[in-house]
Amino acid sequence: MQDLDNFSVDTDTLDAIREVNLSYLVLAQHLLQKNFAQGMFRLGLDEDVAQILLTLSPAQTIKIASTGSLLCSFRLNDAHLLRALRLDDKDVPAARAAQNLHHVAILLAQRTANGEVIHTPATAAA
Amino acid sequence: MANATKSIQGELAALQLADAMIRLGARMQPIKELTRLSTDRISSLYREIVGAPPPKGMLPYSLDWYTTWKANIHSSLFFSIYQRMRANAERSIRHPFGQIQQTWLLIDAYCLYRENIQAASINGSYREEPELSFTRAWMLLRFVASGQMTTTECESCHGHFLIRGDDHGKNFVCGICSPPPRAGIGAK
Repeated sequence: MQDLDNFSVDTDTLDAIREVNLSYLVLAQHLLQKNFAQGMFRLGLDEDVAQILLTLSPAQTIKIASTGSLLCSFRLNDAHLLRALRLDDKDVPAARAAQNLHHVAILLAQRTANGEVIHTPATAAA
Repeated sequence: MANATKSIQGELAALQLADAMIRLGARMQPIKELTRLSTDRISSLYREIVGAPPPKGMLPYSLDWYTTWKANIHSSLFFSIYQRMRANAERSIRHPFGQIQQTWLLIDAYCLYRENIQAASINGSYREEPELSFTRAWMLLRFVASGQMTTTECESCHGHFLIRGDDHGKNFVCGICSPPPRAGIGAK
């Protein structure tokens, strides 16, 4: 027998989601305002989406934060990638543990929001 | 932008770049090449910011430095950030992408690299130092442009890491997936 309460709206969960959404949107706008190019990189967003986030009014921001779903997603959404990070690896020297953290950053930088990997060995001439 | 310093606004843009690069520890050569400012002008700015004359001497020219364990991870991290930001900028139709924008891209990417290094130091008493200097980051981009350095895919994590241009890059496993036996032991 299910308790009837289990079917009532869970406002605590909704509040928690809205709070995270709002924090995320405010942080995203702050990062993009501070430095647009760096903000896009940090958030893993493409330019059009970043531009739209930047132009949202406070009222619009609150409105989309109030959806029942989380707006930001887990960027390490790849079991293979997560395994490669060897999070269960204990007793590694601190210097090596630091390199493991860089691993996350390297692999995240090399993939786009939809998981596409870029690695064009550069036409890099600054 | 060879004539960047002929107008006052052009000079201002060049000085802002030079200011940022000096604060990031850049040597004279990258500043000179990326801003086209005169040596005297850069020297004066350097003295004002640092309070000492700019260092003289040879540039770090070694390709092999980028292939040593920690340096390879650090420079691959910087290069991944740079590549991603460059791809973003090139896809953009809103902004022109001239020499000044390219140099800001390098500066922004280098700042994010430094930030990531700092983030890795926060846990515990270990302090991770940035191995890659601004000057070496700039040299790296030149080495990649000339084909002396390139990247290859790690067989284990599928991340891309820097190797020498004359390295075939086959069966490559990165220094994080397979650290050398004594890597990081006895580190400061």
